[in-house]
Amino acid sequence: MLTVLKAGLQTTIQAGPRHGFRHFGVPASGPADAVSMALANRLVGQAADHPVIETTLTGASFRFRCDMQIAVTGALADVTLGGRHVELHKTHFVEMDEELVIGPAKAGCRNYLALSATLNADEFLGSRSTYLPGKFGGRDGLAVQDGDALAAHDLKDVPDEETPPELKPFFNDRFMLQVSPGPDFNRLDAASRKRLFEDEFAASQRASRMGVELTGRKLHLDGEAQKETSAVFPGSIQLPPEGNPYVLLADAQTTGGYPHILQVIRSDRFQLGQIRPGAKIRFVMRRPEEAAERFRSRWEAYSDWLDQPFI
Amino acid sequence: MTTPELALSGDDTVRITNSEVKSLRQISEHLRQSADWLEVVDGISDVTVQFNPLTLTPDEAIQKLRTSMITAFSGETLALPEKELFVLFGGEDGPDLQNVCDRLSISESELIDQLCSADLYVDMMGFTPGFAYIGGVPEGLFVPRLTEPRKHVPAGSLGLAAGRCGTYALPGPGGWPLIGKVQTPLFDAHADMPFLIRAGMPIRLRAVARS
Repeated sequence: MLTVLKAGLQTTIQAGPRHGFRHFGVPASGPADAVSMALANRLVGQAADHPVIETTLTGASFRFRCDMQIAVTGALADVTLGGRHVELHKTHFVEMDEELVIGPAKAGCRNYLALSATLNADEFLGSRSTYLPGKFGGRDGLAVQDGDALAAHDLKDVPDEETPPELKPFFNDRFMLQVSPGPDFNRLDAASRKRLFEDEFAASQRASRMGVELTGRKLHLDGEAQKETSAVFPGSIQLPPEGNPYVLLADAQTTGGYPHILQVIRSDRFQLGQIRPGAKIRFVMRRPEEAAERFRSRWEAYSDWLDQPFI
Repeated sequence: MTTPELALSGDDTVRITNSEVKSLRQISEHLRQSADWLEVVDGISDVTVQFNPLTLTPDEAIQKLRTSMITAFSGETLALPEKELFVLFGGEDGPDLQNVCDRLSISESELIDQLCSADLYVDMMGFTPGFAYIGGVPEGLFVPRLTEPRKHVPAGSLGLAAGRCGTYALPGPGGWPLIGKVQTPLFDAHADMPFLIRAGMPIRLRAVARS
């Protein structure tokens, strides 16, 4: 029902995360930015975890093979439909043969294209999300390619909507991430513990759906780096031996052997998917009880608009 | 057993540590039978439990875990049955068997005998989907990982490295020397329990003769 004209840097089908299989080594996957995906789906009358198309940095373009309604959310980008400019965070009607162009991200990293139909995608262990390293979910476990024809079914008519302005995430490539101490926080030396909350870090080119490396003044441990392999999750920040913190995203591996120094709190994890190389990052410490409170209030802010928790 | 220690790790997970790994595996089996936890993930010497902050505060999560652990040890033990894995050693199925034996200065049949008579045990699964870290390998059989990982390891492959056996339930990249292939399917996407083996499971290797 739509043809991919230009797939761009990395375009995948994502849906709800793959839950309950981490103890078998199976990562969550799902959207790198769960809030933007849920908001896109809301605008086309779909559940928060309905399959969407996630694009990365360069955007992508598509030609529709039938009339349909769509919505695009996420990174700040110019979006055109049949050559005319259309807004993010609104329901749009697309006519057969019209071309949709999601332009390069001007701030942020990923865009979400949701449809008033259900994209065909492989289900694997309870989720249709693509996990590229394991080659499963989505479209044969692969990134979408130029020329691919993406089929969809269950087309429906939905009312035109717009995301309430107070719920639209705003991305400007500066992030203030709230974190709680990870299990190895106290293994950092005193100077590094201080540095984490004084310094600004920058995202390096080593950035993918698995994780993003942050550079700045190096961090050091007080003593040995050796530790046994333990569970890590999206939002975990590890410290590999070279001293640059590495923050894990939706495709995070399930276990890791590097010291786990910080954990980005649940209410802020969706933002990690919008970190592009060069983005500036600062950290602010939250006690776990405070972090849980912030998560509850973030969810409350969205609960009138979205019908199910999504992060 | 010693009392397990609980500590918050980040804002929505609790880490349980204990010196007795088999007790930890029993705790994780028990916790997975309850709907209270989003994920229960085994590490080599700990278990990490993820909770939903919309339904439990961090304090409540810790309290609930303490209570669950008391029942975990007062109730019946959840010891998993031993799983036999039939293995074709060497040849195309285990392209590194010869190298591993040369390094250890033993014959292929000696290595196979030692592995098949060892009481093996799945310490944890992780790093890549369906990869099992299997402990209990005799101490003399220590070989390092490959210096250059393979881009493609077939599903079912059995590796030996760093004092453990490792099984690949799914195809993917991998850095363990491969000594054989498990003939029993380790993964079935359509089964209720898609993965054949899991953390805490005793393992017995059985060598299959080449026809």
